Parts: sequence; structure tokens; C-alpha cells
Amino acid sequence: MTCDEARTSMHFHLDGDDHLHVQNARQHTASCMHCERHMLDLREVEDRLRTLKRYAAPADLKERILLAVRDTTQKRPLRARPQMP
Amino acid sequence: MERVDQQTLELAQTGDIAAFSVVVESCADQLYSLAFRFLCNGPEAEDAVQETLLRVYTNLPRYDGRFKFTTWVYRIATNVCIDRLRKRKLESSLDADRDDGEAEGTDWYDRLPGFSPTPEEELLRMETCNEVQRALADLPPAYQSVLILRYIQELSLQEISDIVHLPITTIKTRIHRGREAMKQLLMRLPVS
Ligand SMILES: [Zn+2]
Repeated sequence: MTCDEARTSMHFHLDGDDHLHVQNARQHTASCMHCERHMLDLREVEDRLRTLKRYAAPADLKERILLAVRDTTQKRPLRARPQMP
Repeated sequence: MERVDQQTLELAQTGDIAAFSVVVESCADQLYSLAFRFLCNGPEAEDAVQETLLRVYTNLPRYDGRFKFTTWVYRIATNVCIDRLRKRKLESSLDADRDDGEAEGTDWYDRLPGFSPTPEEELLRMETCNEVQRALADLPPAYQSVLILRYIQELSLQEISDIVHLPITTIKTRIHRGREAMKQLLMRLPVS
């Protein structure tokens, strides 16, 4: 397995797949410093994305939405409307 | 997003505001997080959530249960955010033509003279400018959306596939390329 092939397959490893090519990539990575580094970097990307904070919606936003809804008309259900050719 | 029971959903489909307020309560926070990550801007994220939920309300009688309700809501929200990003790109290219020199780099609170941020808003601003968020914002919307749905909303590949109406193999490819692009953007910086 080449480094390029290993780097393609390590993404499937990160997705939780366990095909033969993923197992081969794991073996390659264990013995190739560059690919090991690449894998650690990708894991760090994942960790940093996961640790981005989640915010609660501002309290008045929900109230504003419910006020705006009062002036909004709903579409008619599709099944209730006769189909025009 | 929290699950809304079938009875409440059916009431909301007939225009019942109290039932719809349960829907709003069940998803406003998640939608705000989603919009905030797309748009990196508090007030714009609020507008996007409002636009999303008004579209949800308007189209609710046509929701047919083919997809999970939350999937349907996420699809509307993702489209709203991507539309806003496209409009913003268009506007900033128009601004660049006008060459007024301040189109980029100003954020929501810089534009308000005399506005002093609370510690919470200051934190929000620092987080907004965080390098992970900036790297994310540099990606094309197609990659941005799958990464946000995967890592911020923590959805399964199947759910993301249902939301964006693309096969799982395509979602995977986008996540793979998105991760590589994020690595490029983040790891270019020298380790101190
Ligand atoms: Zn290698």
C-alpha cells in the first residue's frame, strides 16, 4: 500500500469503516511516520471541530418568531388541492 | 433536536400557534448553533433561524412524513444558510468593485458605534474569530454544511444524506475532502 492509498483509506477508518483496505491502511500507518502524523492531524481536526461551542438561541428570538408566525399564512396541504394538468 | 410528538405536529399543521411554539422550543437552540457556524455572526444567525422557522410554519401542511421531521427542518435550515452565504459572497464582490475598503473584516459589533459588549458578547466575538471557525468559513458551502452537520450537530451519515438528498458515498467524499482542507488550513501554522 502506498502513502497516498493509505491516506485515502484512513478517512474510512475515521468514519468507523473496517474494510480490508482500512485494515491495510492501519498496518501501513503503524510503520510509516508520515502517515502516522497525517492521521494524528486529521484526528486533531475532528477534535477541534467537535469542541466548537454550541449556543442557546437568544431568549427573545423565540418570542419574535411566534409573533411573526401570527402574521404568516400556511400553505394548503398538497393532497387537498386538485391537481391541475 | 428534541422529538415533537405526532399529535402536536398535526395541530401545528393546522395553524395552531400553541402547538407550533412547542416545535420552536424543540429546535431553536440547535438551529441557532447551526446557523451561527455557517454565518459566524449572531444577528445574521438569528435572522436565519427566524426565516427557517417561518418557512417551516408556512410549509408544515405539506410535510408528508417521508423523512423524519427533524431531517425536514434541517434541510430547510441548511438551504437558508447556504442561500445567505451565496448572497453575502455576491454582495462582497459588489462591495469590492465599489472599493469602499471596509467590506471585509468588520463584524457585527464593530459596525455599531458606542456599543459596548457584555462579557458574554465579547466571548462570542472571540469565539467567532476562532481559527477553526475561520477555516470552516473558508470552505465551499457544500463541504461546510456536511462538516457542520457531522461535527456540530453530531448527525449520522444516513441523516446527513437524507438532509442534503445525496447518497452516503457522496457525503463521505465531502467529509473526507473537508477534513483534508481543514487540515491544510489549520496545520499550515507553525507549531510554537
Ligand atoms: Zn505512508
